[in-house]
Amino acid sequence: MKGNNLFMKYFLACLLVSLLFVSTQSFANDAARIGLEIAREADRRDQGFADLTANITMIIKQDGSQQQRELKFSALELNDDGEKRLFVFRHPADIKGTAVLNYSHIKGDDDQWIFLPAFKRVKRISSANKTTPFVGSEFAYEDLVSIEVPKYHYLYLGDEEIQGQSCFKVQFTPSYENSGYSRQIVYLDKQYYRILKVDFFDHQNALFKTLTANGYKQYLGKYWRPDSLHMVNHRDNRQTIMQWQNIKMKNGLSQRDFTVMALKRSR
Amino acid sequence: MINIASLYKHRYWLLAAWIMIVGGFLAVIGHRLLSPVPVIDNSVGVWFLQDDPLRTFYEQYNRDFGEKEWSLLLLETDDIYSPVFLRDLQTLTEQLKKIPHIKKVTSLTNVRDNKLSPDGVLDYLPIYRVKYGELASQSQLTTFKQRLMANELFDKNLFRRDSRQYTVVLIQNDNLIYEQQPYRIELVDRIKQQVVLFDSIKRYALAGTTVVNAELNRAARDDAILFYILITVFLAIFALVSLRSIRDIVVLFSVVLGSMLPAMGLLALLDIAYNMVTIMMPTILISLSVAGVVHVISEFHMLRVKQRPLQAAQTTIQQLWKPALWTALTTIVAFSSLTLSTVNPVFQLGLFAAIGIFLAWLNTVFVAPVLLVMLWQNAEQKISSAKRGLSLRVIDMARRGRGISLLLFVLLLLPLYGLGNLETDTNYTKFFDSKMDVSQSYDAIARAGFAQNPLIISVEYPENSEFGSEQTFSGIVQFEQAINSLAGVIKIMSTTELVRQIDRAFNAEHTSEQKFLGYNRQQINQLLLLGELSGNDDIKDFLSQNKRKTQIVALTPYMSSKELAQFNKKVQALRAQFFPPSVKVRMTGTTVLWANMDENVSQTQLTSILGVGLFLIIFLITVFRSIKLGVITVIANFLPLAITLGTMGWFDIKINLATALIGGVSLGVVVDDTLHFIYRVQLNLKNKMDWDEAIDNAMLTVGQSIIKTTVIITGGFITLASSSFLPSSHFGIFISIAIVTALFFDLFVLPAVLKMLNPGKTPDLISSAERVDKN
Repeated sequence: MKGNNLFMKYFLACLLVSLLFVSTQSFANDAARIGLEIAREADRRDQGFADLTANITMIIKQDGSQQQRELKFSALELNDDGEKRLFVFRHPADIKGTAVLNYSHIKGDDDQWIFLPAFKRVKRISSANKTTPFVGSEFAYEDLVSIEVPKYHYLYLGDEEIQGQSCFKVQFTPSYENSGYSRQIVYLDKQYYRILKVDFFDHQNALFKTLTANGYKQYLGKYWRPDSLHMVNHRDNRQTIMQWQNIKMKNGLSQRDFTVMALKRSR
Repeated sequence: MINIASLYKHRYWLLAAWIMIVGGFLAVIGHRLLSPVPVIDNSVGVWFLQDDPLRTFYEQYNRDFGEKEWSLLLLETDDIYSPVFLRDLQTLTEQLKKIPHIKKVTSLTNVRDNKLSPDGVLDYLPIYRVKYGELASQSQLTTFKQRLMANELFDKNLFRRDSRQYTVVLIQNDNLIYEQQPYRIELVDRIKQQVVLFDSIKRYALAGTTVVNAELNRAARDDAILFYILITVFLAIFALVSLRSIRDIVVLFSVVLGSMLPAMGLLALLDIAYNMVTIMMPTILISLSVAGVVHVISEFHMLRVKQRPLQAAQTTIQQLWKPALWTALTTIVAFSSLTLSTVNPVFQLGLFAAIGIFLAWLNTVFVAPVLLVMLWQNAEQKISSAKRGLSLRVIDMARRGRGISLLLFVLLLLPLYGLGNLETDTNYTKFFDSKMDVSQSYDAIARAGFAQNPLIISVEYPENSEFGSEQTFSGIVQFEQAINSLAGVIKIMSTTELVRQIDRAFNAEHTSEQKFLGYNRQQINQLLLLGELSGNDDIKDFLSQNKRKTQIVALTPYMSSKELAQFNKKVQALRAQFFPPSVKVRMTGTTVLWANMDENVSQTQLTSILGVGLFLIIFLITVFRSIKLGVITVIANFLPLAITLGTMGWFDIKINLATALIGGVSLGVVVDDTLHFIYRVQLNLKNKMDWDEAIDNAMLTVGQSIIKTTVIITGGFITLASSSFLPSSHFGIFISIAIVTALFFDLFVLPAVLKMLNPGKTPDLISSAERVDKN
């Protein structure tokens, strides 16, 4: 009997440990599943705008002084492979006409080309470096390309109120190489799945930057876009405000407007 | 006149007040030591001149480029191209990045270049393309070496094309100039801890202002402990050997504590942290306060042979309060002269030491006599041990051995020859003992053919102009080339170098140096944008966001303040050659500001020697009421200083931050014994002694105290010689030399000179004594 009791004790202990492990795993799996579902839903809700054009003004603030950059932006939604984006600089005058074409794939590295009007030459540039500041702003290159769902791992962390709105709090962990972030905590409002705030963490897991999106407006009765994005760098307290104007969708743009040849015409 | 009887009557109130004041300040010091705020100010900025226009510029520079500075880590190995070493270097690079306060690490294994890949993609990727932790294959090594050799940017800063043994890791770390926490010590220690983990690294050396400052901080921390232990031990030994009485030791310590603790407590109360200069203050205060009270104790016991303690104390103070006040005054003036400096540590030393000296005088004339009466009221008569001691033999020799005096005098004048070699110059790398890590590191880096010091040359363009402007771009390219050719410059790092690399990668065969020089503003700015978009994040280390400020980092051997000044002159001459006047070129950085500080301290001290000297001439003539006595006294005190400075010149010891303090301070200190001596001579003349008798009696009475005080002060200052920080050590040694030389002049030269000026020839000496008496 004693032997049986001992066996039962071991059995129960093992069962308990296993249950604990399974339940912890189950919670983690649930959090990942919910996180992924939220990301997919946000992506699904944003699909179908076909193309978008806008004017962007970047206000870069540093030590009391500020500088301005102006860009013309256009994006083309691709049904089966990510998005193409074209940035054409309008101000300052020295870089006017410089154009960058980005092809963001669902999987794999992005493709990127640049046209320098002063040299009248187009070159393909590596997209491996995603971390450098974009035109001296607090936005890194990887903050400006479209978010492709498969490029992150997700973890639902709970709910939180941001700007008076109930939000999903989801951790995005980049699965692509060379990201400047170890993770991002993204807050999406529950009603429209709009990103209201993002906390970016560096590789030492310290809070690096915070992005807040303000002035959301709905376009074509479905698609939400913010008027401005405010990025604060917590390391040096520098800030950049990215203002979006004249947002237009379904302009009839096509692949031909996003080719290397089109870069030269983009002025 | 101080009435000791009246003070004695209220002795308990006096003691209560003393205990309250000293205890109060002790509590303040205790609270400060236990508070989380650092006790030692480890910041770099504490050494900057408060009114240095370059200080504001440096602060702005730091805001523009981030608060960063360069440190250089030299690694020695068998072969830098060995796969094992490269794997270790890659690991080390990643480990260094994780150390707090390190912002960026550039080594052979992560350095990148703008390059057009075979499939036509412009990238900015590491030239060492081996997975972390893996050994490089032969083909990977070949490609790595080809790209390394092909890029001029890496030669002489990361490696040398002509050497396989050495490589340098460039570290950019925080440069928090006003941070008091000793983060640099931790940073340096952690770098060293990481390096020693790798067997493939045979030796290493670490250099840069971070390292120098870390070692300064470490020396300050060590000195704080070492000085206090040594001075306490010395004081205890001196008290036991010389005073041989617990009662006298109590009196002595009451004066020491009564002057030192309130002065140090005031620093604590005002929340001022110690630094390399103020760390010497307790040692200085202890020595000087003891010197004063020793005169009182000696006199008291000499008088107690014939008088009751209260009367002896009264007579002692009657005879000594005036010379004690004069000596305090001269020392206070000497230390106050340091407040002319706008370098905070020097100012603080001057101010608080002056306060401490004043407190020592108060304790010497008010507290010490009362304590002596209290403690010796019912005691057996004390026979002065000094009467049997060495001091009397020395005095005897001084009185009789005129030949020896003359010989010593001539010998002592020999070092004056060295005055011609004396010069103001500071090299911070020479501030440490040659056996110390930091000294050996700088030597090793120089031997390996690399730079020891990154010098920052900042170029600022006027409104409506910038780095790429047509009017200035070719100017900066040529300016940089000229800087690169200056003697001592091993390598330069600049925006232009990076832009040139981007241009070559982007335009390939379509570019040339001539075309590059002729690029317009659009072309330069578009290349910069291209570099940025291709991931070149090094540009922002050299070019400000608005492109109106750029920096050139000239890698050079460590330059002393004098060499730096000469280099700056050459840079300014090149500025005038290549830029319009509206373009400002300034050298900046910690090294430059420290050099400015040194220059200022040295100049301040030359002014202070003259100031203190002038004060002494007027003061001594006034108090002795005799021009001759005044002049003789001044000469007798200036000569020891001149001899000391000459000795410094002979040994090639430069005038720098600490040794510059020797002049004013030593003048103020050494004149004290002369004052006591002359005052006693005058007192003896008043008591109807003849001229020679008055001098002999002064030697026998005050002479003993003078020897004792010299032993104390020298012993106190010589403890500073234990510092591994050479300026502190030199300060201790040479001020001690000045004091001992002054003793010789007081005992051997001054009496002999005075005897030559007999009353028949100099009646004003006697009349001056009478006038002093009437006052």
